[in-house]
Amino acid sequence: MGTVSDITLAVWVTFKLAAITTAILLLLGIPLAWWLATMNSRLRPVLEALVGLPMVLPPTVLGFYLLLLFSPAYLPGQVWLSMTGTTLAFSFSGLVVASVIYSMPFVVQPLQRAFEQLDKGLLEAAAMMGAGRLDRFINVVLPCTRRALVLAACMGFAHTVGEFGVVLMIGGNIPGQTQVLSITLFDAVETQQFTQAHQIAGGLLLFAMVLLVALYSLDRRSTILKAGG
Amino acid sequence: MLTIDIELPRDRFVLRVDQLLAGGCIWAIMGRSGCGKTSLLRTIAGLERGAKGILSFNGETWQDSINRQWVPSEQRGIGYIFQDSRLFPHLNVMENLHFARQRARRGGPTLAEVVEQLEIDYLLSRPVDNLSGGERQRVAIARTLLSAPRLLLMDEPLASLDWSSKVAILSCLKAIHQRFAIPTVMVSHAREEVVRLADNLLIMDHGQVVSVGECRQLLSHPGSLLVRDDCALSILEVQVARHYDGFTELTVGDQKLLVNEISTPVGAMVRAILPAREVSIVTSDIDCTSVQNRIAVTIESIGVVDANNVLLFLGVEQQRLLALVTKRAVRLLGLTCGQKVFAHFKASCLNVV
Repeated sequence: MGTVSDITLAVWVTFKLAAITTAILLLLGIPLAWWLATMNSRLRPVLEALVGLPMVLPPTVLGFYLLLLFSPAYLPGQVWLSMTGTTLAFSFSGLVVASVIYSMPFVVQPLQRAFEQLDKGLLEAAAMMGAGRLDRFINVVLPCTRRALVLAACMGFAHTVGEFGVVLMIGGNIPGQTQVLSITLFDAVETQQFTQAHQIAGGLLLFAMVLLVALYSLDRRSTILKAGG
Repeated sequence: MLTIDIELPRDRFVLRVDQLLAGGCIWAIMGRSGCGKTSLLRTIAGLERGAKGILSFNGETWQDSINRQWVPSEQRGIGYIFQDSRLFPHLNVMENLHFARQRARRGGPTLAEVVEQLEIDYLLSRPVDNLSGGERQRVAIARTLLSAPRLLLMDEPLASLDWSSKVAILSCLKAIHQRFAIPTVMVSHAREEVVRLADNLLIMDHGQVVSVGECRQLLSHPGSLLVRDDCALSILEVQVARHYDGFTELTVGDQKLLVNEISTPVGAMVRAILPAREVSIVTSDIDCTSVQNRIAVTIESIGVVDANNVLLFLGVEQQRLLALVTKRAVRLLGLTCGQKVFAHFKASCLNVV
């Protein structure tokens, strides 16, 4: 536990998990955020609460329920088992499902805010020029909210990298499959391997810092570009 | 031909319009702010999903609530010029124009024609967020024309512009109508715009059409809702007689009017616009005054505007001139219907379009 090759493997698993999760989150989150931003139903607060739940819920609570749902004793677990022949719990696929749910609000909320703030007049103008719904979404909504898209993707990625409680509950800590960096760090500290712990913790800190600096400078550059013309 | 029979509940009134608008000309919709002008235009464009009733254009049904027919905005072939130009901020001027062209119906004007007409060739590579208000609106108009609309809707296209941009774009819109012959419905609260551009006029109040008719008649008609305020205007059809000394002499019948020199050739018929508040009444013909325009008129009727003011309807060579004067002046001068008097106004107050 905690050897260099373990760390390398964990970096790979973490990166793969975050990348796949972010991709799925964008695919699901963009339409979901648009739907929430444009819906007039009284159900909207309930749906928003459901999406936002992972932000306030202890990750272990989410992990506990997911563990139950993943078990073949319940319908989702059964369906998965009959479709793939494997269980979701203690598998990489299970981690992806859990990460998607856990990081959902970090992707959906910035997108929803951006969609809500988008000038709807632009969409009317596009419609009057003959652009249909999908055309308007792809060629007006997405380009006009591209900064929020970048922000949402980064937040989704970073939050998945930083996840611990949920992974601990359902991951199973299998090196090369479900052992991610945050768990490897925990194990390293538990077994008093402080050199490895320093490497992992320092690496994650550096990653978070670089990502945030990149995000903020992106924000700043587009502001300067806008002001300077 | 645009057939409108629609109903749309709003906060303070219900928009109820049942009207045929003949094609081939420019229609203006006027009325106080919040009277439903913009709602009517948006309903025609299909931007108000709450509207019920029937809408059809040249025999093609756009909306029929009873038979559950609804043609979405993007399939109606309408060009809509918004008050706030609504250029796409993520595209530059040329890309904005391309957006319209890529989705245009067939048979529209070419890019070169539109760019030339609106004089925007020097803007094409610029980002849209550092254009002036006038430039933005020119690009928006160009973009709309490029989508080759069958019907043009304009919602106060000049309201946010300064006077010089207004004048430039007004003449441009006029030229566009003559060149591309697109039936047009415009919303405006500015009489100056309407008399310059429109042929026919709808006047609305509280969501209902209160008068319909030819622009010139309606704007100077005694019963019209709009002349009951201080910016009542007269519109005279006049002929250009000669140019001299930096002035142009116009004739209305046997009477002469002077305006600051215009470029229209001698013999052409033009419209002259004169605000009612600029006209004063003199009972005998005096020439010891700096006022350049003195014409003989007959008082046809006197309409009360408010506690202090009246509007005089003056006949001149089968046309009508309006003068806003005080009740006190009417009493002191003893003005009555049928009386022959002289209307005085400065050359600089007369505007030729």
